[in-house]
Amino acid sequence: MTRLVERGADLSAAELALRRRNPANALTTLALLMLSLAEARPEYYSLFVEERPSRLRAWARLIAAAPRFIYQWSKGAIILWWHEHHA
Amino acid sequence: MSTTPDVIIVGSGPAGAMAAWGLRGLGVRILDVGHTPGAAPRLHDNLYRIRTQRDLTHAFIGARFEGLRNLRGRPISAKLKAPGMDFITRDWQTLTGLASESFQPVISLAYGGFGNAWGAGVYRFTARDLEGFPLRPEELAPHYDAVGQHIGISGIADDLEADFGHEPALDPPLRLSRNCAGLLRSYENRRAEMNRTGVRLGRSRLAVITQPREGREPYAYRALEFAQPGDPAVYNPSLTLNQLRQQRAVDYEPGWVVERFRETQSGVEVEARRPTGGSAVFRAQRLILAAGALNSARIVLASAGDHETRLPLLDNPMTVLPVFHPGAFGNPLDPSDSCLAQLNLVLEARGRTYQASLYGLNGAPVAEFLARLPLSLPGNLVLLKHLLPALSITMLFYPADPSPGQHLRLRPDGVLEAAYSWHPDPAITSEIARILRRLGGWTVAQLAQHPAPGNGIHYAGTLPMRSDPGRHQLHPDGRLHGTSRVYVADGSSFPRLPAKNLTYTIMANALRITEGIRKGLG
Repeated sequence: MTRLVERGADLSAAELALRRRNPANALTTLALLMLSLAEARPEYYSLFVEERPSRLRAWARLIAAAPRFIYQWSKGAIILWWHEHHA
Repeated sequence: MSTTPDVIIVGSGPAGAMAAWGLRGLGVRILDVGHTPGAAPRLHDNLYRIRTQRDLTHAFIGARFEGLRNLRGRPISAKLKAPGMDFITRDWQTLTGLASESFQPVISLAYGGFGNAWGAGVYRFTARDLEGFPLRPEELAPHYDAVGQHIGISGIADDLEADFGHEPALDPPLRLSRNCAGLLRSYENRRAEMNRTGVRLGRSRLAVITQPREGREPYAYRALEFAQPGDPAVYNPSLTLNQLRQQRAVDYEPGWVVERFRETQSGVEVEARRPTGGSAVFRAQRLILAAGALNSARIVLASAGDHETRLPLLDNPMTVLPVFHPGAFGNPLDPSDSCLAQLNLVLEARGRTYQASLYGLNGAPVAEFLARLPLSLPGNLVLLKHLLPALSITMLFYPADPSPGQHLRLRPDGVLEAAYSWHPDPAITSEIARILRRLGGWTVAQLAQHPAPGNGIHYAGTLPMRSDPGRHQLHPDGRLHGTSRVYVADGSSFPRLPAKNLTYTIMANALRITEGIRKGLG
């Protein structure tokens, strides 16, 4: 994990690829821990709770979810492959 | 209170509280571990309003990081993991060990037991539900009436009246969320067709008051159910016990783990130990075990020194199915939606009755669900924010009957050993998903999750009541066979479980049992 951070890798993509292999991996746990802490704080409230109608944006994001998943998972898989073969 | 009370009750959950209430006027001593909530500051406003203003790390995470426990180890219900809820299940593994690979229970040693975090669903057992019990519905009816009057119930007489029973007095039901109102409208438009296929939908019956009652404030839609216990609008056995203690009608002794009992010529002796060390023997004329189906079974087996017998074991297995309401996708979250059960769906299929409760997710921590969607965590966070106002959760309960694969044994080292064999029925899950789609929700059976048995927290059947009981079984009056002064008042006595919350019936049955004890004591 330290090497991923040092190399400036896309951690969210790496986390997604890791989560597909093992849902209880350390990177996912660490990220969920940080998000749990953030959820308790008022400055991050709007990250977690929808306060205004946003139907168009929501549907657009849902439609984009499938290609976004493929892109991020592929990117994450490449990051992990590179990391495992060049570390 | 005399030093030797007439009755000792073990446990302060729904059964113990109702037994104490039924015996008021006699000398009653309650023994239990009795964990109580910590001293964290209580929240009094709507959760979402507070969240915009204050850091809630103490309420969500806690000083001992209790709120993060689901990130590692065996997950626990989101409703039991908040720091304010931690006392409900605290220490149960160390004080009442249970080993199993196929059964995942939790036990409460708290003052009020699981009544501190229950879903508050109150459903009478019908004549069909009572098949196999040595009881007729009319024997329980007056006790349901008395309990209902005591705790306060909201709901409405609708299509589920035949399934949930008639309540003589109901507060108006809780406000429906827009999502559930849409499902109900859709059902009403096709009621005849639905009923023909064995489907009925209606409002939930809840032990939640919506009108002021005896000093209790009505339900205020604060969305705090996941954060802290003790909303006085939601019935909690501690309300009854506090009232009895104020009237000096019970002697409450927390801090004891009851281990075994022994009948003597003049009464019963109860052996208990302090979790911190030390032990004592308590004496009474009668003993009522109300420690929950697992712990009452442990006490009975330990008292008999029986490490061989396999007792039967029941729990309502569950399937959890999310339902997406497309019309609400991208709507702002309504902070005043309730996260209690809103609707119940009953399905008659293959000669059995299944019941599902529909909940909103208001108040639940979002981070809990973030890793369950398929995108990266930042992507999931954005999607979940849009999704939550458009999501309901269906909890489908299956009926439970005794089977050779479901049993409980006390090992010589004092640990209970449990096994529970159950497999979800894909046809029933598919049928429920199909019904919900017909009502306008979007879901597919592939999204269903099947928590391991034990997660239903409807434990029962370990010491079943029979007309002609044998060893470790109960007479119809609740008395343990082979004893003359020991009674069991909790769910242990149920020979089978219909697909509905059993707490209301536990309370009514506990009250019924005290009637006989009262007569016996003259």
